[in-house]
Formats: sequence, structure tokens, C-alpha cells
Amino acid sequence: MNTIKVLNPDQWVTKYADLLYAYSIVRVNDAAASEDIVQETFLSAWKARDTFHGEASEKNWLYAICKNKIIDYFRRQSSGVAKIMVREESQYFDDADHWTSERQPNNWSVNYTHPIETKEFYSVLEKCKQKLKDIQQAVFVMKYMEDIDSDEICKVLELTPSYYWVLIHRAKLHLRNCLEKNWVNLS
Amino acid sequence: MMKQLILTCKKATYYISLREEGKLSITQKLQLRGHLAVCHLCKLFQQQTAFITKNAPHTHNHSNATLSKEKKEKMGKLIKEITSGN
Repeated sequence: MNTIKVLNPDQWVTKYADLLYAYSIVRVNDAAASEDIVQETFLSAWKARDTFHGEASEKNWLYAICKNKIIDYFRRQSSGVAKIMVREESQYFDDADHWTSERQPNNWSVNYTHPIETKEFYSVLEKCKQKLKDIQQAVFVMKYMEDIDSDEICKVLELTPSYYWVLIHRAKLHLRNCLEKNWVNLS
Repeated sequence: MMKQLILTCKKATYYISLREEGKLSITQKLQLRGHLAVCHLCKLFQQQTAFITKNAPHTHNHSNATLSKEKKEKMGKLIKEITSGN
């Protein structure tokens, strides 16, 4: 049990609980689920303490476990849910499949290639993400916040590739439109 | 014939995500490139969604969310229990 020397579980809560909680809640959008994820992360970490050899820092090791818990959460959430393509009310395109004038993109006064640091952007993004349907959120988070490729996401969430790509397409349409309406100053 | 070569905006925006993972055929890639060269709106869509997806992973760094004191105490207790268990 020499691993105990490098892991300091008595400090985990003080040092990492809030970090892991913030990491989880912006991904799963559920306070109770995020609390569980953090707690399970610590419990699993302790159970797996013999696999910790110090290649990663204690912090990164806990993050890796937490990421797995988040994927497990999405897997559970998605299992047993009927994956049927439903026609959505919001129309982005007209009968000729061109942008409708109400929902077509307008230029934003930002540099698209620069990272953005304003808190407001992230809080609006979070709110917009919450408006997505659960399964759309799950694919968006797994693909773009957890960097998992589509084949793996389809396997975990039991989705057909064609359904997956429709979900990604819609998630992007909704998020872009929502950010434009609620964040961007178009004056 | 020509009609099959022309991409609609709906399809172009769909292809943009597929292209990220290299899942377009050569023809589809050329179709998309051609569409984005002339369609200002789809070009904006591409730039803005790339902006969103590139920044999204950093959301937690800008979040104020914290666990309640009670919850943390409970967690701390639980960890103490299991780590001193045997």
C-alpha cells in the first residue's frame, strides 16, 4: 500500500471537490447528478488506488475518473430512451432548404478564431445548452466538450450514425441561434 | 445533373460537422467547399459554430458553481470512513 504516500484522500474534498463539481455541472446540467458524480469519483479513486502510479498528477487522475463518471451518466440517461427522429418545430430552412430570414446567421462582432474569456459568453452558452433536448446535450457535450469521436458516442448512447449526425446538426443550429439572440450585441 | 452538384444550405451545414471527422467523400468535400465559397450565411454558420465548439470545453473555468458546505462535510466524512476502514 505504498500508493497512499502519493495520494492524499484526506485532502481530496478541500482541493478538488469544487473543481470537479464545476466541471461536471456544466456538462450534465444537474446539481444532484453532479454531486453524485463527484462523490463517486472519490470513491472509485480510492477503490482503484493501486492503479495510481504517479504518472499523472493526483488531480489529473481524479479528472480522468470524473470524465468516465460523466460518460456513465449519459449512458444511463440514454439507455431505454426511444431514439426516434422527431420533426422539430423550429425551422431554420425554408422549403428550398435555404436559410429563413428570421434564423439566418448574422455577423457577430467577435474574432471567431480567438478564444473568448468573457464570463457572459459562458453563462449564456450554458443556458442555451440547457434548452437543448437531453440527447442533443449529451452528444454535444461528449463530442465537443469531452472530445470523443462519433463512432464511440454512437456506441455508448446506442445511436445510429445517421441519427447522431442529425442531433449534432440540430444542436449546433439551436446553440448558434440562441447565442445570437441572447448574447451577441448586434447593434 | 447540375442540380445534384449544388448543395442546399441545409445540407451544407450538415456536411460541416461530417467534415470535422473526415466523413465526407471527395465529391461532397468539393460540393461543400464550393458552397462555402459563395454562401456568406453558411460561412458564418461554420465560423460561429467552430467558435462555440472550441470555447465550450472551457465553460467550467468560468463557472461559479460550488458544492454546499454540508455536502462537502458529508463527503469528507465518507472518505475518512472508507480510507480508515481497514
